[in-house]
Amino acid sequence: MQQPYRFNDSRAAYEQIEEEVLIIDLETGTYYSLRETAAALWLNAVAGAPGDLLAHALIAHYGESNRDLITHDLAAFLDGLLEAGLLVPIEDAPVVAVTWAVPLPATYRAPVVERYDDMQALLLIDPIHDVDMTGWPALPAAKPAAGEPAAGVPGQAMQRAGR
Amino acid sequence: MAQALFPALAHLAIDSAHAAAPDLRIVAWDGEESGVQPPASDLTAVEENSQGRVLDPNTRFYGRFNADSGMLSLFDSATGTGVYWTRCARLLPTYVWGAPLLTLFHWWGNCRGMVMVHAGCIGVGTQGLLLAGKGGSGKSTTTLLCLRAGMRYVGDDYCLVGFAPQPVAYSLYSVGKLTREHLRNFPDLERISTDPNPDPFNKPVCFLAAHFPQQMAARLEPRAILLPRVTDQAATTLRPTSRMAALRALAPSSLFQLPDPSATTLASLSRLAQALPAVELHLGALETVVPALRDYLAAG
Repeated sequence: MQQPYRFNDSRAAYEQIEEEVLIIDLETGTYYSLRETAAALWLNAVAGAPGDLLAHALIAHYGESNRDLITHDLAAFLDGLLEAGLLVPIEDAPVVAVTWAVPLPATYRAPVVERYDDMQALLLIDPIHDVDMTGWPALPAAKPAAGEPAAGVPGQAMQRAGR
Repeated sequence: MAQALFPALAHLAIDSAHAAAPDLRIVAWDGEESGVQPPASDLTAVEENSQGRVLDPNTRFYGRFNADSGMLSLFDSATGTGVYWTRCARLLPTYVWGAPLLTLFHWWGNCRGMVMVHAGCIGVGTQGLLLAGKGGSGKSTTTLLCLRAGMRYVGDDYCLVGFAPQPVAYSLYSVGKLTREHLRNFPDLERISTDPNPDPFNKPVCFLAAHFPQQMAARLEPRAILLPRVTDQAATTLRPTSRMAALRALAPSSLFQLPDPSATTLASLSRLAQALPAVELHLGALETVVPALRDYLAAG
């Protein structure tokens, strides 16, 4: 967890309103809602804070007694975001200080990413194809199968929200 | 082609003899009707950016091809010129009859700082309410209830929102769409509904301009974003909620019904969500919906 990260803006977009973050995967239609601990960590991660710095800051906030739990939960949270392609590890980043732009809850709660897959069906209806060097109308080599589910996201921190 | 494209836009028709120079000019034709194929497809420069794939590195030209329905849309943002070709308009899916030229309106509006929003919009006078939510939330049923009760109608599914600097919702389509099951609640609308080419959305379309001409509104100024929820309670109630809840309701379906979902569009939707109060609309019995909305608008 020593590598810093950057937001994968070639694939996704996110917005913060007040104390919540909404991330949208522009390729798959999956979207994610982050609140409390998850939102607070996300904002620091996309600013370049590596995992070990985030862990240190959370442990300093909640106390040593939570060290093992925080370390475990944070690793699962970051792994989930990396697996989903929302974060990308980078080699170098400016040294950043962890700040809590979104207030942390008084008692430690694991960061939770609520995942929504209900928009994916829209992408399968009448597929849209970009025009390219071969001109139009050119169909792609393979079309997605109707009803094909979204790839699962590992990590305990990811929860599949109801439709 | 006229039968497929024009009914949804009928409420916006003007007398061309008195019209100023158009801001958007669209050349549209049907390959089967005319025997004329789309323009030559030699492309010398293609670059992809956050706005989606474009045909020109200077992001002047936009192009999209819908494979299954056979529609080509091209747009020149410098001249405000759109090109629309369809393989066979009479075979276009019903959802296209209900929202023709959507891609071109999206690009044109986007270039002018507007955002295409998947939301209904109704109101009284110049004041409106946006209704946001995915299919099954009660959005379309609510907008059509309001229409039938005499309220002003911008649309049930899409509108272009500009910022002047407060949000303004501009009408595109004078249509209503409901599933066959829900249409049974509205026999008058069921009688005027049509389903030219059934599609996966399974919603016949009602062309409303001829039947409710006085209620078609070219624009309304939204006062709030309502998030409908179907409930089993007797009365319809409204409860404040977070602006992020409004963005969650607006953004995914708005983004993914457009050909080029982007961070820019999400930012515009976020701007809209932050500009207006967000309210959960807990739908009770059908006869309680319109009075609740009229009361909310009247409260100021």
